[in-house]
Amino acid sequence: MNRNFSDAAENDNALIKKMIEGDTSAFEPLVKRYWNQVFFVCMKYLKNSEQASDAAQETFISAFTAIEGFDNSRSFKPWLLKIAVNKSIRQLNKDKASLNFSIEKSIGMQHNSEPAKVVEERQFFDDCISRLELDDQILFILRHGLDLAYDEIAVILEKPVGSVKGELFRARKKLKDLLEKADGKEVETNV
Amino acid sequence: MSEEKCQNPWLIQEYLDAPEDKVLEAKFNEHIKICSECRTEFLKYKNMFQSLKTSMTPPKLQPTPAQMQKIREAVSTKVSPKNASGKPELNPGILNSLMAFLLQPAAVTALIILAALSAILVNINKDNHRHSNNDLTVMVERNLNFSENRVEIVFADPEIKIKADNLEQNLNETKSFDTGKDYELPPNSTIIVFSGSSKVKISESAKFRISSNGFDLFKGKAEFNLAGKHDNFRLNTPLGEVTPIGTEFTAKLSNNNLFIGLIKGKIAIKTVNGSVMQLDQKGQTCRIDQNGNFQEPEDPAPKSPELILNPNQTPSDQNNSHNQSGNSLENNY
Repeated sequence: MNRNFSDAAENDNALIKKMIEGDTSAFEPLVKRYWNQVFFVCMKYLKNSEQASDAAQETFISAFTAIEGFDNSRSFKPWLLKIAVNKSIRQLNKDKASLNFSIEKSIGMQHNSEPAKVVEERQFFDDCISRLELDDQILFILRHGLDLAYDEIAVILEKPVGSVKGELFRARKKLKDLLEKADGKEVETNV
Repeated sequence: MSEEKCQNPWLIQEYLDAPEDKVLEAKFNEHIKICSECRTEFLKYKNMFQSLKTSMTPPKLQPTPAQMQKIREAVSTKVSPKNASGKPELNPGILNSLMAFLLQPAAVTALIILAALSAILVNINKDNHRHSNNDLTVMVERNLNFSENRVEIVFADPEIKIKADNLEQNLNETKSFDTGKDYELPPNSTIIVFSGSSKVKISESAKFRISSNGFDLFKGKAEFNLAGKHDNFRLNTPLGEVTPIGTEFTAKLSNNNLFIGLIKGKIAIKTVNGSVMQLDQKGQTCRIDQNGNFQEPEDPAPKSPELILNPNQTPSDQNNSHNQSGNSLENNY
């Protein structure tokens, strides 16, 4: 996907310019705009709402305290998400075992007004995704959830664009195979 | 029409990745004319792309005022004015006024009196300190007080409103809940409220009231994780009261039934008709009907989040621990 900067990205860069010029209130719209995306990425890595919330806060704090070093000709979102990924990986390495009172499912609760069958299908799909490698799941979030272009994902994950594309294609193939296999098993059990 | 293995297996994904690309679309349309494998696979991939979009899109979530404040403080600290040595500058006007005051004879007398009083107070404090260790322990171990609560995490649309005694207020701007007020959570929103290290996750359009030593749930769902000393805590519902002896449990009011699930520790449940049950095994659930009678659990909803989420737990572990009935201590006593 080859995209130019969107209006949002242009607004981002205007806000960042204001911040660099000393307007400290300019950070708030950026936090409001990207909080859910940063939190979602952190949550996928850490699977613990408190840790994800802390990592999201630290992501914004790190980004804003280093904002003068940001190249304003580039897009802010991939730069911010790269910080979020790095923070989460560092936290994950620090404490892999902390999964108490995880509210990962709260994310799914946004859809609790849907019919039971739809919820069940979504649950089945999410279960299959959760069986994939974490790196594959992160690729899905960045590409399908956050609608990032391959070159933006490459910046975040510090990989060549070709590798990102290849890994994503293979991850989708794995997921499709897993869905077919799991679906077949479910049918067998029901029969 | 060829039945051989596809020579361009990534073309479907390339096309679905960029459906607006006319060149790719033409190439794909040509390809599926001759590739039966891709004709079969295309619909599967198309459905999967749609599901991925739905499943991987972040929830509508905004930072809480507390989170925003923390970021604000960090940002403003970074840009606060500093002198060359990095220390905050002292206003020269204040310095001059202070010197002028100290040079007056009345000020010198006042300072001497103050110094003498301070010495007496220090001695009194030393004496009190010998007896105050117990007070300190009491402070550390003091009972959970839910009137001191703070909203830490909110999953909701940015502008969604919560009802507080039937008056609407912005959920994302809500920092804490007042005791004695009835709150009603809007649909499709989830919040996590902290009191000390204890926390409650509230969802499913819950209607609730917080008091200093308890939580009243009128409808919806609440999940409790209680830390520290909390033997004064009670969960009150129209159908029964829950006394937590342990730490984590869920409560859900649905269709005039109360569903309780134990995650960790022990809980005792006393219903409106006086029936009592204790849950003491992880994963135990129970259902209380509208008359206050214990019934076999039939709703899978009160499954503990830990049981659902712990990746180290096998499905068989989950089956073993779920839907065990509680121990009825005494009925209709």
